[in-house]
Amino acid sequence: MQIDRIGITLLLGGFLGLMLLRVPIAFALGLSSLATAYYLELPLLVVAQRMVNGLNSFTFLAVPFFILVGNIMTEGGISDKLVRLADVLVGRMRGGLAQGNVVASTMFGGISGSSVADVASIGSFLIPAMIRGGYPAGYSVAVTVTSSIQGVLIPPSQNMIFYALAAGGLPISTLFLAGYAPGLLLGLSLMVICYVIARRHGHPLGRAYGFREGVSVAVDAAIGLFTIVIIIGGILTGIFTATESAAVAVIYALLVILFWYRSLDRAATARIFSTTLTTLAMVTAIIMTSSIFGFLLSYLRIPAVLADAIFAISSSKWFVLFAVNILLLVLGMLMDMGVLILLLTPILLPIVTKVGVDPTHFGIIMILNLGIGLCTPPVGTSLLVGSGIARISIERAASSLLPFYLAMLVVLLLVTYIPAFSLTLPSLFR
Amino acid sequence: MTWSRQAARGIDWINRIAAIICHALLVVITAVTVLQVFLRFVLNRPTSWSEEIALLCLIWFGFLAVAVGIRRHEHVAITFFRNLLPATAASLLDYCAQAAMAVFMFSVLFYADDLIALVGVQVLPASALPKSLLYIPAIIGGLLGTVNALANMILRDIHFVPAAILDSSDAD
Repeated sequence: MQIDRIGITLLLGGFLGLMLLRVPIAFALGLSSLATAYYLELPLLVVAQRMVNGLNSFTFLAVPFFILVGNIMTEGGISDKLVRLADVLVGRMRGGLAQGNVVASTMFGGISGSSVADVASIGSFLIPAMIRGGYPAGYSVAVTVTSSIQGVLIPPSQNMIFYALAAGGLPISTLFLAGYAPGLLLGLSLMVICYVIARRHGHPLGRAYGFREGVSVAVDAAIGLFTIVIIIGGILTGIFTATESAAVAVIYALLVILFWYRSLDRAATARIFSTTLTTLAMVTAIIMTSSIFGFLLSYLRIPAVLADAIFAISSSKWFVLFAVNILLLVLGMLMDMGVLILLLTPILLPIVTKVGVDPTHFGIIMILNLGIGLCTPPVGTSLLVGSGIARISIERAASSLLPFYLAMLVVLLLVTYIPAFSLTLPSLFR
Repeated sequence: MTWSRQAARGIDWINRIAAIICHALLVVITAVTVLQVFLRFVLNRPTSWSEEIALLCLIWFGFLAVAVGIRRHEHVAITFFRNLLPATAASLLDYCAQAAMAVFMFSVLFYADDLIALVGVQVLPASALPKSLLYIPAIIGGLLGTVNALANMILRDIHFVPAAILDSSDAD
């Protein structure tokens, strides 16, 4: 096998160099690809063609819809309602606000697939509320940030769409179902930690709700949570594709905030459009340029080169999964999840399937692993947003996160080495 | 410095128009997809053109949004190392980043032209629209993106956002 070392250095080195020099990631991908294509003497119209191809996918179209549903529901005050429902459900436990935080994130994960959106919306209620309630600021941020990772695992999740695309068309429904158990496992383990810490430090109880009040809170939240039924139900029964169900959910969300929550005015509409445009500008840029980059990765046969390097050490399933997890953890600390999924899936998936790992299982490992990266310094978007809300330094938040990192790593190990967590639920629906 | 204020106003006006077109495209994309479900599921008349139209709109949306994002500093960058540098060096990097975006967007603009020449008079299979419609947004987006990056440099508007912060905290 002929290896073009100059080409590989130009592509990967160029990308890393530009990115570290603060060129926006999408453009670092694009420019390093452009230079490499020029060096390889490929016709350069391939650049524009690949960019168009990257977007030209009906599956990807679900992503703008998921983002829209999340933004519309946020305008409708869904986070406030979920926080209250969570308080009704678990508020009477010791450390009730922390427990409620985890439960609210679990439910929010079913509406928005973004952990950053989770921290920004739920965190903006709960972090100040927890600090007022006597919880340390660092701990409040830690609970909010780690529980938000459930958002990327519990469907609908745009990161699963990225994975399905990068893996060459895995069924979305299987991936979505596979995310539930690991997401709930993560939530449960966080609740256990919160309980232990609450016992030790004597954290306060929440207030009690009357039956009537509890029911009215639950109904109010359930109307919003019905989007989950539309999206997941639509996909599972085969009535809709993921994209179609997401579009229907957009219309449903609009009707809900127009007629039930009654919070859709001109200003709210403008905010929905402008936040959606901001997020999508970022996402589409990365989708388009990573499509050229991915093409060159396989043109230069980089996946095969890396596979040879790993298999030269050992080709046991145990070792390969371990090595891949370490690699993902390190890269996840430096870069954002979506980009890494798009770039690394075509490289890593052939390697792990060679040692017998199911592609759906690997998708869940990857998403959970990179999710941990969202709460680690130096580049952890969720951590950054959470510390911003509490106005504390990232270092202080990160030190409170230590027990939570441990819990997430344990969950990652369980999910990695026990495929049943990911694969049982999808197999029931087959 | 009235000329620069006027230039900034002009550029921002163009970008506002582009953003409004993006919003409209988003509405069209949603409407077409829901219509597709309605026609198939309710009227039992599956369509072949709807996916093609929705995706065509998405591609137009994508290129315009990326270009507008340059002017509005919305593209995520790693600023960790930049922030460790002294102020002069840091702002030099900010200029280089804008230059990098200008170079890339100009290349997109430049080579998309070849692509359009290549597809010639081909049409899309389901809707019979000219295939070049898929690549024209690359030219428009490339142009707007190049102009925006150059404008950011000339207007010394290289302010950056530390990370993608989805500001939805003002709801309720």
